[in-house]
Amino acid sequence: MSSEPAIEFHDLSVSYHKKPVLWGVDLQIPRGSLVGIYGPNGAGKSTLLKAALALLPLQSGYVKILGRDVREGTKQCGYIPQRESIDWDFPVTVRDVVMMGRYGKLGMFRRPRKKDRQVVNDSIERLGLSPYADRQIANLSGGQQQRTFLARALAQDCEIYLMDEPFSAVDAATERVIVELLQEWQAAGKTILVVDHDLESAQRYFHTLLFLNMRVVAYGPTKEVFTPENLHKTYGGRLTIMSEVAEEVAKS
Amino acid sequence: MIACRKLCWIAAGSFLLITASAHSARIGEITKTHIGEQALRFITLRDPSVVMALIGSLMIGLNCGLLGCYMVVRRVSLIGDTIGHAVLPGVCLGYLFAGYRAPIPIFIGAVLAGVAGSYLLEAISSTTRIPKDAAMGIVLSSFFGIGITMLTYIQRQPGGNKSGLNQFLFGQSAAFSAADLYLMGFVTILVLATLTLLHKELVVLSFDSSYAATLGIPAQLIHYIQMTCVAFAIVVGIQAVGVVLVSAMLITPAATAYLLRDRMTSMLAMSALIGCVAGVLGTFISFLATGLPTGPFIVLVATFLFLPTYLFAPRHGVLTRWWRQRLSRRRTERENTLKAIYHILELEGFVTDQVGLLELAQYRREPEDVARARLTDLGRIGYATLHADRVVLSPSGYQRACEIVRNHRLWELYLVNRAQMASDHVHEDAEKIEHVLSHEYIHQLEKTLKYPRMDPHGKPIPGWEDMDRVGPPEDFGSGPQSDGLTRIYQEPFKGGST
Repeated sequence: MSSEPAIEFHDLSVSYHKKPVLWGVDLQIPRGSLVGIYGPNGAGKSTLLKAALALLPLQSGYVKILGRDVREGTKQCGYIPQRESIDWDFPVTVRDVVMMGRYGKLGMFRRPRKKDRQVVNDSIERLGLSPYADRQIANLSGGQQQRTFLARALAQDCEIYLMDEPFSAVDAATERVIVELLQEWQAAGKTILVVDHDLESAQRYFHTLLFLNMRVVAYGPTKEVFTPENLHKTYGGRLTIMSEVAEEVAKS
Repeated sequence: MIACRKLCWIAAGSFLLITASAHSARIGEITKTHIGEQALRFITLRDPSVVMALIGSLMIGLNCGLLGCYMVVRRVSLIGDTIGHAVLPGVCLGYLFAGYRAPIPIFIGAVLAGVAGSYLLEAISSTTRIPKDAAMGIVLSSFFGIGITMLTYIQRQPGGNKSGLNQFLFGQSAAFSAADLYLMGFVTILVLATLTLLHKELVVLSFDSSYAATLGIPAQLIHYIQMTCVAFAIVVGIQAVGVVLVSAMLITPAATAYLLRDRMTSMLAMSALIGCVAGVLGTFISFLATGLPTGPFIVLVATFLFLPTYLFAPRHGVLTRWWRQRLSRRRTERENTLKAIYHILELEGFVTDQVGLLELAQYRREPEDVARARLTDLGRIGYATLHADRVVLSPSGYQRACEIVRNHRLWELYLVNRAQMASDHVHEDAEKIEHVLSHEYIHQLEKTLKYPRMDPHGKPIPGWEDMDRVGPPEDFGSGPQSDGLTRIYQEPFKGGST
């Protein structure tokens, strides 16, 4: 059982409106990994996370979570979406959002119990949000907003965490809190995938890196992956033929 | 386009109202007693038809108010409008099938037409590049056109009991039958049960549908259940409000509550309450003059509740926001005057605690009467007293002046030391920030900057202990600024640290 990788992508291809975004991704991410995912805009970073959450139809290949089909595995995954995808005017408070982390465990029709409220309180406390717990989420700073979604993931208490750009628009204090939490989760044997764009933090925060540009450019220990050659392959030399062909496929 | 047609219908409706009232006016004096009598009949609930109208419109207001909340927060409010118009051909089909205004066939026909309309909407927007709002316009108008054609056809048919079919256009709660009420009761129970049982699923789905899917919530199924409830609520709602205006009952109460409430549960409660009030009051008003359609009145009551909210809601109201901005602008102006007075005192080496009116006007480069108005304003809130054209700051005024100057200089120092900004670039920024820094931030800044005494331009920063009395701060005169005094005095807006 424990020999199964946390996440396995097998020959995964994904398209949006017929336009390929990911081509033939083969990856096995062992349990307890903390992986930073880097690549230019449109490289398919968010798409890879969404594929691991069964939020997208796959064109080919499969994804397995803890050795099981992706659809059964999503309950084991805590997802922190990109902040642009959130409707900040929605009438919910910090506490409401964090409580959503418990809904998967509660199951349909059930109301939150005392234990759930306790977990939610602890998560809010852990991320220093107690003074803001009853605020509507638009009345928070960028860092507090990001921490709200971290608290939700914490309250969810799962094996795998998938984070989409958690470091964008946050203050230094929040960045520190996120990094602490990442380390804590890794120490507890959880698997974490983090999409990021700041190459400077790549070497500081992650022991394992994944360079992505429509396909896997490089995956492995940071020291081996973070080379000028790989950086060039990922960011510099645009894969002109590949993206042109992708356009053609979309038009056909 | 949609709004345009709606306006036409409202215009047509008001024309009907006017002709109706013109007709009743001909009866003369009797109209007056009529209204009083009608009001009494309504309030005493003497008449069973009043009780039925009341219960019916309460249920409709409740259903629409609750379901509308999810539509408004999900930004799909106009789907309600589309379904509302799309049910009309179904209503006519149900009538043709039964041969009279039979509740059950009409209900079934309307639901089928509504469902067909929403499927067509999905089909058009998912198979072509036509955006959803345009697809809604197409479905809404074509279904409504078919409905009106059928209605006209039915009315031209000889014989048969055609009474009441017209009422589906603008609604008539006085025409509720017992069977209508049973149907409404059934829908209300269904809506309440669905919203109670699926409350947390509906909230998380509306808020963040991808996340909800990862939690294993059957998003598609719940969406269909929700849309079925909406279709049911619309179909029974058209009895009171009519197909033309039923979407207003889904949108207006919910939008009002959206401006007033910050949590989904309290938004739902408030929207339901507004829906009920609108339903009952609208029914009451239309009852006063027998035979008038209820829909427009119900919708108008909801709109009258929306208007003051739009203007005066505590946080999101337009006038409230304007008033708040005005207050903060006036406070900023006041604080700038205080700051100028402090600067003049500082330039003169704190030898006196008075500043002349002319001095201030000259320093701020303003006409004398503007300066006088500013000082009178300061006097009104107890920050200063103006006597014989000389102004003396009160203790609270002096303290506030010190605070503003301190905020300004601390912020400049912070920008220069911590943000590595050039010292001649920080003034403009500090001019804004000085008015909004809270005590909490000031303590943090002081700590970060290790309790500084001098700003980047060598001017002393007033400390907490300097604020009790008018006088130079501890380090006054020890910095390199003494030189520049006259220069800054002559060019108050070009010096970095004014």
